[in-house]
Amino acid sequence: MVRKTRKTAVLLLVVSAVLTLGWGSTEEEIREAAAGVDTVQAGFVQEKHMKMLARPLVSRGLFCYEAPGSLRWEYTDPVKSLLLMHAGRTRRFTFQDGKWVEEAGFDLQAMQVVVEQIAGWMAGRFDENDLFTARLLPERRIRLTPKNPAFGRYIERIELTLSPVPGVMESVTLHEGENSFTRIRFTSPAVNRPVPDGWFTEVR
Amino acid sequence: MTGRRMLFWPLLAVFLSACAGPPVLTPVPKESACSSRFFMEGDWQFLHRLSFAVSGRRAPSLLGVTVVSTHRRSLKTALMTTEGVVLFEAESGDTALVRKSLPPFDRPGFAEGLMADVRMLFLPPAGPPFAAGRAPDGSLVCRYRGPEGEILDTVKTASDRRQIHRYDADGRRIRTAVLEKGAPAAGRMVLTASDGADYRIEMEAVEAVRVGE
Repeated sequence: MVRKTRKTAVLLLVVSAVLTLGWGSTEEEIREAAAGVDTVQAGFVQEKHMKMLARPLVSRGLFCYEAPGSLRWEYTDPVKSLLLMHAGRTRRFTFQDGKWVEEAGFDLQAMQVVVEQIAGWMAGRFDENDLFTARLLPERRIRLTPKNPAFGRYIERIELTLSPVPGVMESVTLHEGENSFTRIRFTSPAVNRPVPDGWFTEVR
Repeated sequence: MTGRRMLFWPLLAVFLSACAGPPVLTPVPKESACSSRFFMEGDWQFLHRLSFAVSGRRAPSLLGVTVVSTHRRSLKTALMTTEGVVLFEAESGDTALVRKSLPPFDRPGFAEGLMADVRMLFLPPAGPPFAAGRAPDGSLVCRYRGPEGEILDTVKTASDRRQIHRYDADGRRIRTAVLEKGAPAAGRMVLTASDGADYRIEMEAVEAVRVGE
């Protein structure tokens, strides 16, 4: 019994050491760790906190990334909407009256900018960025602050918490000021699992 | 009938209804026309999906969150992208207190206009009704005085649908709201502005949470 417990403890230590190594602790190590990641798929739970709300707004969805820059960001509940990013083009759809409708004339919105950034973050490119200044913090956290004060009116800062698993993020928190923040937690991540054809170009 | 003639009569009807002023009412007891159940009572947090059409052009979908207390007569509202980025936030007491307004929601007069629309949809009128009666089209109308000489009619149509009509001091109808059964907690509300602002907002209920329970 004692031997079994000791074995488990040693195993846990080894596993946690490997997981902590994960992304690495410098920007260079993070980029190298992300280099082996071709695809990441996960669910997410998004909580919107505002001072005015009696209860946070909770949304759920699915996230899929494929290197070098394809992304599918889909809200499934309570309001269906979809952002598709592929070959430098981003399209946005909403589900209305039983069908997907592409939002025409859709201006560049703050969240679209963030989603586009995520593709870069997944590749470990935190510092090569025109919009944000990245700062590496302890405990696998990265703080991004907008370079352009005009964008800062939408998002004051973003904090990313990297998962111990390379290529996987634990959470993204968007701070919009003292009254409001949005936290997105990723669930059940799968790294390098094949992605269906057309996943980044077709509405399904 | 040619296409032009087909368009003429509906347009004329809209034009006349907008110019005609509040309908003359055949009086009925206020208790029968002025049901307290027209508006939802209590403290609520509502989430709606909003579809805007401005001058006939569709704008991107947004989410609207409204926290309302009919007891305190307080109202807080925010417009955000479907992804949750807040573009506008304000609360309504005697005047609109704007906490955040980003383009295109930072135009002069927008906040006051929006808060007046939200107040009309979510809060019962402040004072008691001054008239009640049946309109020529058979609908049951309860009539209230609004701010600055406005008149607000809560309407139950002959087919038992709820509508709210707002008239300015000159008697022009400036807003028409059509509420589906269960709205604002379920179903849809459609608000049409006809005072030259020329917009239409369709609000589809997503969530309704009773606060404090």
